[in-house]
Amino acid sequence: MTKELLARLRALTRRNMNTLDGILTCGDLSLDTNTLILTCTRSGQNVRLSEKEYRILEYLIANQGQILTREQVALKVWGFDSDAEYNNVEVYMTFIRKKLAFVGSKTEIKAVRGVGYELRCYRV
Amino acid sequence: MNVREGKSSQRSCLFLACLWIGTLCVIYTSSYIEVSKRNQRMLDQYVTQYSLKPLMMDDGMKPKQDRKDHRWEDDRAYQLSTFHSVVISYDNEVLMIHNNETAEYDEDELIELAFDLLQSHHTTGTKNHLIYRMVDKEGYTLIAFMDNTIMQQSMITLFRYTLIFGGCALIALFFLAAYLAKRIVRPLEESYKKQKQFISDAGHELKTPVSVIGANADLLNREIGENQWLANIRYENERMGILVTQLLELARTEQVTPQMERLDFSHLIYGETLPFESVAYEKGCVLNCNLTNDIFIVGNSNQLKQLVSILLDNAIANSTSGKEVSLILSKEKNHAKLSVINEGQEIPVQQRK
Repeated sequence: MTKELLARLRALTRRNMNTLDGILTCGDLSLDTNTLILTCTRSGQNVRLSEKEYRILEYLIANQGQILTREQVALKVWGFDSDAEYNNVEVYMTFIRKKLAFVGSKTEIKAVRGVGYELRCYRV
Repeated sequence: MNVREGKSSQRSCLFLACLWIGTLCVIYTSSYIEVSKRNQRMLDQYVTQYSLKPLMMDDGMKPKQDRKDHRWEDDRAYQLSTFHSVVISYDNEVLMIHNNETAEYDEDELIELAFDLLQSHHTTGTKNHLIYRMVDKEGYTLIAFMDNTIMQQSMITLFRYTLIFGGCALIALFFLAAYLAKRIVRPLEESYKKQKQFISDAGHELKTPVSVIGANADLLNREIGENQWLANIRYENERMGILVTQLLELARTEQVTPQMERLDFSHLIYGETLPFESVAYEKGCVLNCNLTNDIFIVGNSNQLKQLVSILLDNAIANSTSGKEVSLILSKEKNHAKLSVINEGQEIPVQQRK
């Protein structure tokens, strides 16, 4: 019982840590939820994200270390009624990867074949 | 702005001073050269007219007094100039000395000088206020001197006084000019500042009513639902808000001189292109980037970013779906060339500016 409680508390505190004054952080990345600017804390480089890219990355950060399926991402970002093809998710993943590379971050979006995607943070 | 104008006015003052000094230098050197040339000519004249033969025939070694030629008799400068001469035979024997009445140099000194020059093999030149010329006549060497003291002294005096009084005048002039310039520029500067201040103040003052109108219109809209007139008010108010923001932007950007720095233009453009990839994707366009790497330019990164993003935004917004938008950065003869090309509806000729 206590073990589970502690684990839940840890999870909660971790989530709160991430959204300090509108800035999501994950490893060497920091994502401003107001301006949609993605910054790498190590290199100091930044880039502006589009709204969809931001929502995908936010979703990935919130569930870092877990594998998210393409369906989950599509549902979260495009919604139920949208008939977005899963292809869109792939395209957007490429865009986000390019931006991660641009800011010089070591955080990666791993594709797990046949399952989905996983964000692997680079711990500083 | 003040700093920059101060610098440029300082620079123009410096330029004027240089111009003035340059003019003086030209005047002095040209007059010096001319006077020296005339002296040289006189010395030449003296040398060509000098002849030992008649003297030797007449009365041996006695110096001849009236060597001054009839042709030059009316030239007062020639008559008033002081000449000395030493004649030395090939076997280094002093044949004759003519030391002009003024005993500035005595004979021994002249002989010594003559032998010095004979050994140095310079046929013409200056030595201790004397212009000399060494000529080989039949059977002997004539070394003629002309006294240059007066000319040199007057030149030095002129130069000294120019330096002293010119310098004083220049300094006085500088302060006067600075004072006058300040007086002339001050009202202009003040009005410019006031204008800036006004734009900035007005912008801030206008912001509040515009946003209050906006908020009230929104509230009213919620209360009475869709209404054509209210929609007009909201639309125009929104436009007004944008105009006010632009006004403020204008006042702010003109006040600050942009910080120029050396930056990686290729990297900057690539960074600006990334956010537009998804925009282009949503629009169904293909964004085609062809960037040459490592192009460095000097510029303001924020303004350049803004420029690139405006160009791209427009290019994508006005492109036909399914077509290509190309962004090409290339290097051309010390220039970076950025082309943004899209394919869309052609603007009718009448609408082009």
